[in-house]
Amino acid sequence: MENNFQELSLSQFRFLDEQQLTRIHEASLHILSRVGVTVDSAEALELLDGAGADASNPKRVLIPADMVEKALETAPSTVVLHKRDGTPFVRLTGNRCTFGGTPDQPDILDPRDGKRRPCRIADVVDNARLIDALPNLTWSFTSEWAGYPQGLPAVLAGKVSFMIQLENSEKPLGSSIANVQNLKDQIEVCSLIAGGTEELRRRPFFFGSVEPITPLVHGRDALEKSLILAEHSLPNVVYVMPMAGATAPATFAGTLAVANAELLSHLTLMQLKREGAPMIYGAMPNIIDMRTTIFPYGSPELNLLVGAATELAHHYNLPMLGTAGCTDAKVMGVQTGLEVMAQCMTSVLSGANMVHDVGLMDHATMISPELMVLTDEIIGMTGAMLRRLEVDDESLALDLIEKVGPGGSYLAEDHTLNHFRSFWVPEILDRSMGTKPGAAGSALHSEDRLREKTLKIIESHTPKPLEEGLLSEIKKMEKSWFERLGLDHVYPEE
Amino acid sequence: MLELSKLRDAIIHGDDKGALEITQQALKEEVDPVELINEWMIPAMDEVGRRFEAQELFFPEMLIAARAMKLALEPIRPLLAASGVEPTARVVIGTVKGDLHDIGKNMVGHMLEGAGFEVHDIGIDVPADKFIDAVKTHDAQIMAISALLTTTMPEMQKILELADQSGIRHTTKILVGGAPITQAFADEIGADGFGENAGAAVSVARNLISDN
Repeated sequence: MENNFQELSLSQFRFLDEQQLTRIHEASLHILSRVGVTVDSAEALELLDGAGADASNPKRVLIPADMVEKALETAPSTVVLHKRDGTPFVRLTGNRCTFGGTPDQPDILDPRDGKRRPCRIADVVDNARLIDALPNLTWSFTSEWAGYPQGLPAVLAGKVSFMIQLENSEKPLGSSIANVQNLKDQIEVCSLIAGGTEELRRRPFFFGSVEPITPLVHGRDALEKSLILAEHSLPNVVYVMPMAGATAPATFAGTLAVANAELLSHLTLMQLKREGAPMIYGAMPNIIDMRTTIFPYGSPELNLLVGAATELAHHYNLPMLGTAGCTDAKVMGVQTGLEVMAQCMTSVLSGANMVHDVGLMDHATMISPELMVLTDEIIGMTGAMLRRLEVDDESLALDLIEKVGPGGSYLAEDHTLNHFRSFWVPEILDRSMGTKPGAAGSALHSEDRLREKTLKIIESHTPKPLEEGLLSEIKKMEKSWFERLGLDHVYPEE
Repeated sequence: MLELSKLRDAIIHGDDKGALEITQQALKEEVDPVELINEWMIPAMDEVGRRFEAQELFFPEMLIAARAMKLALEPIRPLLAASGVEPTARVVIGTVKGDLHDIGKNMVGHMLEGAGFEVHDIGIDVPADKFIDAVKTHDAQIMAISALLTTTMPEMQKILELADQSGIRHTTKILVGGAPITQAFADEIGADGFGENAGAAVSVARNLISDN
């Protein structure tokens, strides 16, 4: 039920050795106690001050090492995300790797005609269903965009995205959360579905996310959201995106030390608010591309640095937010395939627990349903490649080898029948021989098969509906959000 | 006789001290400061911009060229002011309310300064009305707005609407930029210009000014 990689544990693959991890950890503690972090929230300053930090200058709050070490002791090492109905579904722990889809971005690469256009409400419905259907995407992370291009105010668009997810997918759901009010509304609606705030805490199907700003700034909005999430003890993905050479040193160890300091200080604050509040360590350290000045989603350095950060997270026994399934490319093609393959490989090898950004293109300005479907296939392929091999009597099959003997055939043997289904079978990649595209069978190009599969799921997948009574209750809540802004409760048409 | 082409070369190669020395020497020899700017300094930055666009230069190399330009301009600015010559144009630049990201804004600011603009950076998390106020205070010909997040880019529309109401649009051109911003978005909200990166922002700003 949970994911493809439950048995995967390839800890011999390492970017950093123990000594290097310790040095980065110590460097982060040095940064926190000597350089300090900006903290723009009165409550956060009070909490930090009360626990022994020097908060006399909010621009440079100095946090001593023992406060950080104490927080690391109380932060949970395992977070279980549930389905909408409260069934445990995704277990974020150890080296287990899971992936999540993205339903919305400013633009969409339409699978029907391969063209780029603004992403609208109907697209977000399609994408939510797609994520619900794809087996290797086990949760969803919305950017809060549905309806904005159609004239909904931004804060409302965020909540409409969220409601579309709730209605069209039963998988765990996270959100970028436009502001504190949206977070409160989202917790309220999720509590209603869960049967109460305490029930939601015990069986969370919702996770929040906040972003400190590199270098070393905890903004008010992020802090307020984190304090609310900690108060409810709901899973909080805290993630930072340092750009080596721009917002962090151009050397990778320094970039990791800065990112780690940001996350450790945020963790410390959350534990002060409520011991045991779950945090997912979200580090997306990268370079700045010095030719284009973009944050390159397909860079090899991103894989290297996210892999190294995963080891830091695991060094602390914290679940890790990884990154894969995204590309700088604007079309489904060579660049997309190879960048995403490299990311999926690194994610699984390093054991990132919660791998996000599946489906993003053109440095996170466009969502591609086809890329989600392709990544689903690549995840399957990666899982098949990185399986732990069994070596025992049954798998060595010496009796069978003796029976078949030299020159014989294994094809019609029961042993073959019993075991061949462990071979991975591609759905999109084309393995047919021959030159007859379109002929019966599989002689279509992989690009055609990808489009066909994507459209088939969008057109045919029916998610498990929310119970009728619940649906009308949450729709009432949504109506009140519209009314708060003086609007009628209707989704704008195209 | 001073070889002024060395000023252009010093800027192109990011040699700020060299650029300053040649400029000071030229002023001592009573070279017209406007000629220094128009014949040597601006063409140097144009060449840097061209090389960056052609991917022959990396961003930090363009930035040190802008730094050299800025330093070389220092002894010239008071002379221009004294003779009543305006600087290229005044720019107010900031990141929208709700957004604390400033690296992109800073890059554009540095590049505009390097291109000779007088840049007033009003910081991050700036409410719409503060943009308008700053434009009025500095009598700016360009307002440059930055947003990094999809959740904050709608704030740009607010600023545009407020700018429309406050009647500054006929004297001030509005330039938008940031990772999620596209030409289509800029058109939709009615901005005057959009720069895909810091280098492009400079040429867009120049074009907006020369259209005036």
